[in-house]
Amino acid sequence: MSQTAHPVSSDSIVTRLHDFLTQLIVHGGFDLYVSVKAEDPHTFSANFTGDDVALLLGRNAELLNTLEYLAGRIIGDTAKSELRLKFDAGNYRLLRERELHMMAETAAERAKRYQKPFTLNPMSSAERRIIHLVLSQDPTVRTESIGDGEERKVVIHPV
Amino acid sequence: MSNLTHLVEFLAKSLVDAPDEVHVRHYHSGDTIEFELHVAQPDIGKIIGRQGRTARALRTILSAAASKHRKRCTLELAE
Repeated sequence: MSQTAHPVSSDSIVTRLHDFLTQLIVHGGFDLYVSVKAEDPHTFSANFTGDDVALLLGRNAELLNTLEYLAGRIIGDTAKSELRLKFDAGNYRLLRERELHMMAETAAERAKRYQKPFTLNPMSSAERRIIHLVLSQDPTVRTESIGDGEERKVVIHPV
Repeated sequence: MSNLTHLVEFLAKSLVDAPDEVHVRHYHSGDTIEFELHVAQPDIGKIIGRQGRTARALRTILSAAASKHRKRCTLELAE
């Protein structure tokens, strides 16, 4: 058996991810439960429930996003292949995506009405991507990202 | 707060190549607990991460856990 395409099976990644998150929850004393599954060979999702979901979702889901990043660092390094992690709690991702759609459209309307660039609050790359995608359909505005790191944000320009 | 020490230890050991050389000390100063994380010299970059992102992730998780005990905490990396 000298298969090299998938050095680590998706079952073992699910197990490792579940073990890592469960230990983190126990050591941190969090009231959380987690279920992990493989969406496809490279995409793994984790869904959290329990009283501390509010703690995960505070400040634009800072803790949820942090766990997603750190798990990617730790599990991704050992899996030796490109991993995509999708962490969620209380349907946050879907609700946030709807919110971002509305924010993008509202901001574009303002940019057009006042013929002035409109700058949104700083967002993660995943969230900025949603804004860019939504407004790529609109030929009357142009979007760009400015700033560095945590401060990077989308600016919407009227065309 | 020994469980918070275990949390820092667990996260650090998950990140480094030399888990046996991970040591965590903590000091109390008022409402704040100061954690001092020691790792092997070659592992320091793994704890800090690109643009300090990993160190910031550790602080976010630690602060969230500490907030459940109504405590504040700091995390310093020491050689």
